[in-house]
Amino acid sequence: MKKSKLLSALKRALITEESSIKVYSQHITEIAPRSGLSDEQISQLTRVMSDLRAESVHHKEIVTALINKIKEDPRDDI
Amino acid sequence: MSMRRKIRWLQLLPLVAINVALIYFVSRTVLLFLQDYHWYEYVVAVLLLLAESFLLLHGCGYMLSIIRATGQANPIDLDQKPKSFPPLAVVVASYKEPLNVLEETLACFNALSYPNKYLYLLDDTRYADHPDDEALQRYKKQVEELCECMEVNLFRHKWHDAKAGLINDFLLHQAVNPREGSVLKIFQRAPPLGGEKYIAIFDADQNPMPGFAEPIIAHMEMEYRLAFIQTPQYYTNISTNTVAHAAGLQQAIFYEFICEGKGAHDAMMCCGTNVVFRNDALLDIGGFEEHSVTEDFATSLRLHLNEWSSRYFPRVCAFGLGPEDLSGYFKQQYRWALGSVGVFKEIAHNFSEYARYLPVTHWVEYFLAGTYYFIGFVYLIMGACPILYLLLGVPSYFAKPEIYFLTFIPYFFLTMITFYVTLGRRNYRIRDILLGQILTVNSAPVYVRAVIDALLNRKKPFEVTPKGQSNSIPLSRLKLYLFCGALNLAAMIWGLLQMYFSPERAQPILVNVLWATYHFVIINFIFYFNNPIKVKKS
Repeated sequence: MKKSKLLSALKRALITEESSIKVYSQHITEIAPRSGLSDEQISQLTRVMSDLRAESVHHKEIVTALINKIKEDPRDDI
Repeated sequence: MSMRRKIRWLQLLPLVAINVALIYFVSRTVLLFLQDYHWYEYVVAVLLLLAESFLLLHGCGYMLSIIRATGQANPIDLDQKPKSFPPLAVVVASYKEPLNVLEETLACFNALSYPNKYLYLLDDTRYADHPDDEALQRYKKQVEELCECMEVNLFRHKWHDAKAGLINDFLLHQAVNPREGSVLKIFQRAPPLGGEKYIAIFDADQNPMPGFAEPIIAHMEMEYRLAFIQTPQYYTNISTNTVAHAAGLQQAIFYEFICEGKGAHDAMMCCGTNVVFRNDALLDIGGFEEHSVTEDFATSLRLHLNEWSSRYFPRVCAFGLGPEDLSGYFKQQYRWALGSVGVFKEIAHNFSEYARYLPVTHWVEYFLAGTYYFIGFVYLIMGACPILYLLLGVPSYFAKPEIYFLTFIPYFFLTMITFYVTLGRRNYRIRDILLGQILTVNSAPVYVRAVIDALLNRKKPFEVTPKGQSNSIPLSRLKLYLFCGALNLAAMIWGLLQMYFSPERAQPILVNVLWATYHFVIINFIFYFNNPIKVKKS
């Protein structure tokens, strides 16, 4: 696979994950009080959000390290 | 109070409300036929009685839904884990949707934790009709770039029959029997041979949460004849937008007890988005009904008639945006009303031919759903009666005020209390529910127009609900509301003058003045909704 293609795919994956977290957190912060969701549901959603954020940080570390390694690789095809 | 006792109490309250409503209705009907009246008074009185009967019928339907929803012996397990992960197509149907709205939805598709997912954007935009429109051709390219960037497959077809035509062509394509003009561009991964087993359908502005699919697929896998599972729609732009706020609360009323009640006896109808279908079920009935603007509702009927079942999954697992101004909201409501009444005609036709194919409870649910939008006429009649009495002296309610108060007040308050208490137990505030109801009443002219168009088979071009814009309707387009408001105001003033000069008729006049005032206040809320952006509290 071409190095540039691989790098852009990895960067894209990171961006997509960040976008989804942004969308979810926007929705969850917009949930108006007393509008159908119970406290239990809201806390469950908040838990899902914090898990996603933690996962995303973890993914970002891994993917960034991978990107750096690929960049250091002198080959054009990996 | 124990949970069991609370549930019994929630079942008892609607049961009492139904009985009180029936007492009111019987006494009201008997009193009407005991009075002397002119023929034109009789016409108005019968229209009012019919309007009230409609409300009573739908009210009883709602109360029965509460009883069924709270008394379910085996409610659906919301945390069911799947034993296997059959292929699932996750699709968003798009017609000229803004790219930022699509991008958010596609990002959420990518975040779905279901391991065996195939992601698709079904683009229904009619590029071929406007080959010289540069902006549209640019948009076409941007959609492709977005799909490539988000790693989502892109499906396009030769346009026909709106969303239903699009999804049907997609299903045919997946079943390796593509219609001419259908094209699939692979940006994620190629579909499995013969297509996916299930299809999750979303509107462009509906964003599923990561764990959306697993419990639903688990239930679908357990029941072979289960055609689809519907999940709720939940708007989150309600704290900043008055229209979305009220529309969201209207939705909530539907997605709480009404849907739970339907789901409890296998009569849930598809609502077009946030729903998972079994592909075999759709292929069995020849796909989505293409000649209805509410293809989801029409398709549900066909599935049930073909002995497929359906469920409701009462957990919010996708978030979306409600219509952001009155113009968008009215377009949405017009489309729903037009489609529902169109399907109502089919329901009546099917009932006459295949009544024994479905249980009575299913037919009742379909008739209630199919007739709901006739409510526009109900509001029209109820709004006109106090004005006719106060301004023209035409009575429509033939009962002594004492009898009116004795039967109507318990009926009115008990049904209202049941309504608000049961929704209150589901975390809704009275103020919010009221706003939802007021918006419904103010949609009456739209419903009336849609019902007439549907009954006369008038075809209207499909219009999507606009997103990302909040514009006020010019006052000139609200003339009807201004006129009705002015009529009610005139009736109130004239009524008060009559009370002063004819104190012997004070009681019936007072009742009508109160109703005119009530209608005047409700009509004036149109100006509140016509200023859709709310300042967000810090």
